[in-house]
Amino acid sequence: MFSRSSVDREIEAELQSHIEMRTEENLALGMSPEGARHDALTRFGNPTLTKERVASADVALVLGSVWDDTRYAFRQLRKSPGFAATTVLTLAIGIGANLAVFQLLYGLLFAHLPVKQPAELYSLHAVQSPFDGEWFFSFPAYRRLRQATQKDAPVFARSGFGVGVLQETDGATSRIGFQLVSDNFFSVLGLAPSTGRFFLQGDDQRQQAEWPVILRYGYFKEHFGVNQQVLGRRATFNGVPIVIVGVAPEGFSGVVRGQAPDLWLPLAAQATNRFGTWFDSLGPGHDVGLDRSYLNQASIFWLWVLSRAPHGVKAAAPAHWTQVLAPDLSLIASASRDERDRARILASQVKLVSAQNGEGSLARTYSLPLFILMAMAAVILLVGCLNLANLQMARLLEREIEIATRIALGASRARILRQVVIEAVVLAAIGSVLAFATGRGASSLLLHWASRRGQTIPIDPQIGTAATLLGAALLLCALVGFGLLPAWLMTRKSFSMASKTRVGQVSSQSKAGRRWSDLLLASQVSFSLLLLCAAGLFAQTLRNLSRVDAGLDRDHVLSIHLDMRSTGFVKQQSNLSSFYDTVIQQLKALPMVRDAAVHMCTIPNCGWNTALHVFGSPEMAEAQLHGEEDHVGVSYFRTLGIPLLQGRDFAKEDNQGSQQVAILSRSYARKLFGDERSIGHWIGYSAPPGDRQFLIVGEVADARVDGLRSNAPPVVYFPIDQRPAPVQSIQVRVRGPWTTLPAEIRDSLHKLAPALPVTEIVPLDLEFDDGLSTEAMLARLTSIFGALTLALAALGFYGLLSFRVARRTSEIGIRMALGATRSQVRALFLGQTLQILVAGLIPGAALAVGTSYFARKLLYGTGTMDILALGFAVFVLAAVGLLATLVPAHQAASIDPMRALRSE
Amino acid sequence: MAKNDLQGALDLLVLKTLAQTGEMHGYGIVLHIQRASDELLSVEEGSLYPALHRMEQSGWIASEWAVTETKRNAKYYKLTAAGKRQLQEAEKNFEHLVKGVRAMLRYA
Repeated sequence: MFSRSSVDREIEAELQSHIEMRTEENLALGMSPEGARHDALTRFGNPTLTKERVASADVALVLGSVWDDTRYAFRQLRKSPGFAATTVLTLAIGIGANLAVFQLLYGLLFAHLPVKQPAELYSLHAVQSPFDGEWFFSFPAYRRLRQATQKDAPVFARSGFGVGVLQETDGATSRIGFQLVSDNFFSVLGLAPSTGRFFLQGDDQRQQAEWPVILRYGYFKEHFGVNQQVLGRRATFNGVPIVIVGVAPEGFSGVVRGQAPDLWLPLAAQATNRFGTWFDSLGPGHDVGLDRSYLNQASIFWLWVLSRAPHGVKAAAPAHWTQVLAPDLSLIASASRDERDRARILASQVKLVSAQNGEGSLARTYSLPLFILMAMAAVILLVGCLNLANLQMARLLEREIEIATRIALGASRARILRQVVIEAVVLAAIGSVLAFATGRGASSLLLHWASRRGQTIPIDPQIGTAATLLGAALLLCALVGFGLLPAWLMTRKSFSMASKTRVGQVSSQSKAGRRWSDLLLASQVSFSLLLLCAAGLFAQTLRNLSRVDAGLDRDHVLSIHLDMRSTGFVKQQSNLSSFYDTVIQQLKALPMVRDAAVHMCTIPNCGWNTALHVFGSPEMAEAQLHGEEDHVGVSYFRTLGIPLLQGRDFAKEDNQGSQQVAILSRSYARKLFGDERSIGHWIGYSAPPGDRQFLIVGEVADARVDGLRSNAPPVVYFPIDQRPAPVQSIQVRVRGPWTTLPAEIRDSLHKLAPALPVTEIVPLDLEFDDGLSTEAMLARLTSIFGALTLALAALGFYGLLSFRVARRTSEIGIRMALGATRSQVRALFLGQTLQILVAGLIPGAALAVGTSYFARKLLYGTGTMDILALGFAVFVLAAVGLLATLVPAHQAASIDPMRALRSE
Repeated sequence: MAKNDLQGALDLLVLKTLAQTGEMHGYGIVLHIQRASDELLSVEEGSLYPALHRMEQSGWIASEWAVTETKRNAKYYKLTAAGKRQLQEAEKNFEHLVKGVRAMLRYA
């Protein structure tokens, strides 16, 4: 049982030295050598027996060194591999899941930007842009802000994120992300280039024949390899000549969480009109020239403005900024028809919002799902530890006799505890190594699941100090929970009993102990119910959403994505309308294509926000006018399967020479005209006389063009031929299986226009599904978490109940000897299991309701309580619980009473 | 009860020996007890070592291998702080016992 060799050797040496000392003394007293030795041995008694007694004193009291304890622990664990494996796996999965989610959550919410003194960075918020509600500024506004606090609080700006085509000198092209930034962007952030330089002062406004660009380190490394000489390299980007002047420092990927531009250009590059990024404007009718440079237009909003405001100036600077923004505020206010709106805009003040964790909506989008996952991971670990605590208790009960013996021999409680704890530490050490590995792998997997097609969310899931600390803390909690606590409870009992009871009788489990483990089991039931219920709700949400009637036929449409603008392709076309017509004819000639239409952008989230003024109703409130605007080709509605409800569809005859027309979606028509017939009314972009521009000729059904989660928006459709513009997609309605179609489409388009840049061809349903990636991730993960918890709970049930029955063999024998029938014995155990189940189900259901209320924003069509999911969870748990009881209870009831009694 | 007290007596003798001699090996303890009790008490050598090891596990005494005057390796024991407290306790208990037994014997 113990490794006694070294201990034995030591005892032997000690006893030996005793005997030899006696012998020596005897010799000194004049005895013969044999006599001296004989006398020494006689006095000592039987040395083997003594050695045994000494050794048993040592063993019973637990060996001295931690090393011996550790070896003993390994030995014990090897004797119960099931327990060891369960513990290690539970810890690996439980802590691993926590680490995985925590790393993402931390990276998303708490990690600071890797810049100098991030706490001094603030985003400037003044007034939200009229249509998109973003905290945008125009370029002139940014310049004014910058001049207002040049020294004290340097102001810098960035555009949105764009994707462009890089063409290198060897002709290779690739699509990469870019961002336009002010000339002082890097210097105010306090960064030093890893090679080369950053922008020069004045790059903001200077037009250049060759635009300086700065590469992101990660892109540089991937694309060129670190050792490559890149400075001075030339290429064209969206058709504009560029030259690489520097590389940003390693680890820096911009100030927006979740967006990592591959290269940065100076703001002035916008004037080339080749670098489209997100913008908002006062709308048509306010001198907005989208084809002109934005740099001198105060009515186009496309910049986010930040500042480094040290503590001393933080209080005073916003007032300065508000002051210099006065002209912009009054311009924006003048565009609103609403008196109160105007007053609100005019009264706007610049506010500082901390940007130390980065800007952007990524945190908003993912923090709730991640918090929910974090809570679930915590629950898993909790259930796992409850389970382990129960198993540990059972194990200790099995070793009760051994422990009681040791206590009787004088082992202190601390010694016994140490032994148990060292055993737990050994398991925890193995578990934690696995946990960190699992955590790392799982967070990459999680990111992958949460990401949309083709683009991974750029959060760096590194195991940092925070994650390590969390892991250690969880491990400690787990150790106390499953290692120390049961042993402590256990030894307390054994101590009080050891002296009084016969060893054999210690085993009748005390009532208090049983209550404890009942409680543990019941809370496991509660928690696994909670997780299963949540899994059910999220799975149902995903199902509901993906089955939602989008109002269009997304199963039979392929979407061809084009990039006409950034490649400069559009500039080569003299007549866009006729080009579109040829393309559509070409596509329709393909056998599997039923219909095709060009489309201003790609679904979902296509429409621009707009406002329509109704001729004859100038008094309409501002909010009533707002909707979305879309520009489509002929037969767009037929292609997408959006039904025409009234009036006529767009036709070839709606061209630049004819009366400008529009088609409203049902809800927009309702919004503007109520129950009145919309066809025949006039609408326009601005107040009279600008409100008699377009004639409404038709009305189509609503469609969820902004994604499956959001309701169908009010949309006004205009024929693209009346105001020709570059399109971003061609929608194609297909018949039959279309697997080979994308290749054919590429082929046929290439023949027609070799330069037409087709970026991808995607089924429309996939594009819609992409919008559900968060839901899909939640559904998938909660299902996994739920299944894990259920498995743990089942394991706990089976293990503990069967163990209990086995320990109550003699009690069963007595009961049956006293006349109890087998079914009565069975009923006894089933009744106890049912009690535990019910005790767990009720709080579990309450918890589930609470959680679904907390997560209601993420649910769709499920209400706050899902009976189906709850029912399923209850059914599974009850089935597992009863099964886990039935087998051991049956065994118990089959015991021969006499044998059971004799076992005592 | 009786067993406990006898064991207690051996413990007391050992602890007291270590308190008087500072540091001693098992054989020395046997000799010391014999000598100090004017040969009245002789410790059963087979019982001494289990007792020593038990007291060491209880933290009353600590051990260390060292070389004797006759250049022989021996395991030396000495009192710990807990051992000193235990000794006081044991002495008190023993006085108590002796008093009780004496009173009992004197009872007419």
